[in-house]
Amino acid sequence: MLFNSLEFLRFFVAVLAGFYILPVRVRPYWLLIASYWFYGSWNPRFLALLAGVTAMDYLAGLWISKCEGRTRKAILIVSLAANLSVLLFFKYFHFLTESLLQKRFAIEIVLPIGISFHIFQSISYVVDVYRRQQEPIRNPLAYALFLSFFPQLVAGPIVRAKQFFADLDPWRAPGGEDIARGAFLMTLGLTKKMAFADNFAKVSDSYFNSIGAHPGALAAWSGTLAFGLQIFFDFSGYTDMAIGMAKLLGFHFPENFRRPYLAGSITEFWRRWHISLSTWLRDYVYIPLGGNREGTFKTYRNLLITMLLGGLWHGASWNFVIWGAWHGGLLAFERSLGWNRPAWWRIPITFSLVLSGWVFFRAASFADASVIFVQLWRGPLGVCLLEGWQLALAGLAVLIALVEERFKVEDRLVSGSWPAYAVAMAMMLFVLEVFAVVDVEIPFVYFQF
Amino acid sequence: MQSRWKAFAAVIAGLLGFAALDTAVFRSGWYARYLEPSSSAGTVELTLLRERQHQAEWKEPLVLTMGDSRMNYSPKLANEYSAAKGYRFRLTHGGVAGTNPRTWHYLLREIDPSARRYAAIVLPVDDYDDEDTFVDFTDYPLDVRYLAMLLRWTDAPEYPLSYTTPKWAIEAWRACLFRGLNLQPDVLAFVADPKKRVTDAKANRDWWPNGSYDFLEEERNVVGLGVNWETHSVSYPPGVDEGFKKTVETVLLRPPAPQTGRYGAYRRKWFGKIFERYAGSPTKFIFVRLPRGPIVRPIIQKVSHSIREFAARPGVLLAEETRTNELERPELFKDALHMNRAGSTRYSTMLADDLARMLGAL
Repeated sequence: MLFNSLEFLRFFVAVLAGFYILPVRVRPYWLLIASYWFYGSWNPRFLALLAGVTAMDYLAGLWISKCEGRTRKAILIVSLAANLSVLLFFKYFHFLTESLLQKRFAIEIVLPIGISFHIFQSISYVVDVYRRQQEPIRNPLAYALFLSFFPQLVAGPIVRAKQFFADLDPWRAPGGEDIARGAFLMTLGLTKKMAFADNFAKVSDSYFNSIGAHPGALAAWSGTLAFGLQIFFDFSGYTDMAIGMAKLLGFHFPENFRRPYLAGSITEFWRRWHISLSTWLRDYVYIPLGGNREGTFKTYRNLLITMLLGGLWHGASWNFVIWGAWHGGLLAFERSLGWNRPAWWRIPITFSLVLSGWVFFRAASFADASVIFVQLWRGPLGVCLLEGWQLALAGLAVLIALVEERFKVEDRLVSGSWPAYAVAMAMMLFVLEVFAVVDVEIPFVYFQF
Repeated sequence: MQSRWKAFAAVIAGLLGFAALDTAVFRSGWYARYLEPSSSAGTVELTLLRERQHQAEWKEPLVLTMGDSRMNYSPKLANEYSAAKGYRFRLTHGGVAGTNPRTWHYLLREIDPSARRYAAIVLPVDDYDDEDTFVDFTDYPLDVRYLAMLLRWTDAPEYPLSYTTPKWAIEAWRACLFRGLNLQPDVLAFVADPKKRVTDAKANRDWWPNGSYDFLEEERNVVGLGVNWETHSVSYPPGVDEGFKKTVETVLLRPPAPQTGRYGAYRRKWFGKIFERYAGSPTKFIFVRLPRGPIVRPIIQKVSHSIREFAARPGVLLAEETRTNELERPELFKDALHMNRAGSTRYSTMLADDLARMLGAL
């Protein structure tokens, strides 16, 4: 059930209607039923896994809160080990056995959708309880809703327990601004996904699926640019829809993207890209490793380890490890140069470096990525794979991003007068009508993680 | 926006704004001027342009012919012949290649909004009886393309529900509700090279009304084409290509489909819709049986006879069924379906004579 499908539209309308018809005290349970229904629509077999992880960390949270000292720590370690074991088995079993034992076992493992997101969310809860930054949740169904809440179940944003439960208890009906922003973000997200991401996906898929058919630097750059645009619009579009839906249900998710391609450094890029993951990695990996408190070398090491894990989180492949290392290395390099403050002239450099990194992220294999990397810088020119209208679409996106960066148009529209808001909505829907890809169904990129 | 009602109102206003934008661009006639001329929707628009021009310029009683590519008579030759014979009507052709009765219903709604402009409308069919084939016109996907600029919001749900396959029904819903979505390939091609499109569209709009009226068919024929119906083998004229052979096999050698009454029901529905719209109008309807091909398939048992049933209605006439048999010869066809210049010329005069006889002293 993709967010941009008719099936999901029917589902969401039914959920929204039921939610507001039912008494307030019943509403969380309605959302829980809907969320399990939503997850079951992908593969009902994994409902048990989701329920199992929920039960385990719910109990772990309660138990930790009642214990002190070494027992407390032991429970945390057991919980972390169990969570990571689930992730390791479903996501990394073949990768690890092939890499370490040079052997592929004859078992077929289907990756439960969104597992990386809800495992990370659950880990953050247990760690927060251990750190005494979060009260344990007493109501098991409320905790189940926290892990399974359908707008962010399969691809985030990774919501912290503190944020979620502040909205749940006591639940407050969305105000005018929530409704306006929710509808706005849903429309914006749908437009980003169907009109922008899916059109660029067609180009990037055609390039990355048959590199040999598109030789030359121009083809390599345009194919990579297409992917860079696809993944941004795809993921940020999904996130916008998730945040928008949550707002209409009275929940407030954190911002996950803030015009990342306008970043003036890689450090700033990670403050703008997939913010809920980068802050998670900061809080639960980088800082526990020592962060930047233990000298220059250890800071570089910590950056590298954090980004390697961040890369590996995306998928079980050496390409993701290299992508993580690329970003980790660049973060360390920037720190060594003292580029702590962004500068406008570094925006194109940063963008090129990010684009180059996407090659490893998207290519099917290391060999493919190597070929593309060579083509980016050497050999014949080739042809640009992006058509004029697609470049115009990209140009329009840059213009909107610059205006948004400078004037915060979204906030002004949502809190301002209704005619301007209505015009913006109408324009988005019109762009959606004219450019939306409807002939093929292109899944969200991050659903595979 | 602090108030919830204000927020709801703003969202509703956004939706209405979108509808207004969609109307201004795609439903006002503005974009119709720039459609790709060779596309299905573009051909329909050019046909409408020509017919509106004929309606405005020709003062004689007009007889409109509908039909697909097989209705390839020459209106110009027919009208010159009619004038020479003293017939008072003029023929004008609103048919578009690839269309069928469902499309004609919506096309006629545009060509003749008052349902009174024409003295008669000719509806060509390949048979007065209904033979089910493996082609299901109910789910004919190209209809949505032809009707891209004609479908209205109010055509939902009737038009989408006339499809039985969900995939096409969804596309039909889109076509009614979101015209821009249906025209998307056309719009993207326009955006890719607007200058070329504007030039092409203008050139075609300038040329089409007279150019298409003057058009004469090709002269080639298919002499040498023969079918042995016992062995189901075909002898081809020398030098024909694979495309020709494929058409012959598809058209002539197709196996008989189970006769379920599907085609009869389809014709009853859509011709019925056309007649319903003209209820109380002085416009007459004349069914004519097209020349079926250079070689005619052996007759199979047909279970229903929708066109003959329509003849019982007031104002609906049937041309003599066997009249076009004499044109069903390889020397009068350019392929397995379409008449060549000689065939088209003979059919043009034959049609004019038949209409004069049936319509009387118009």
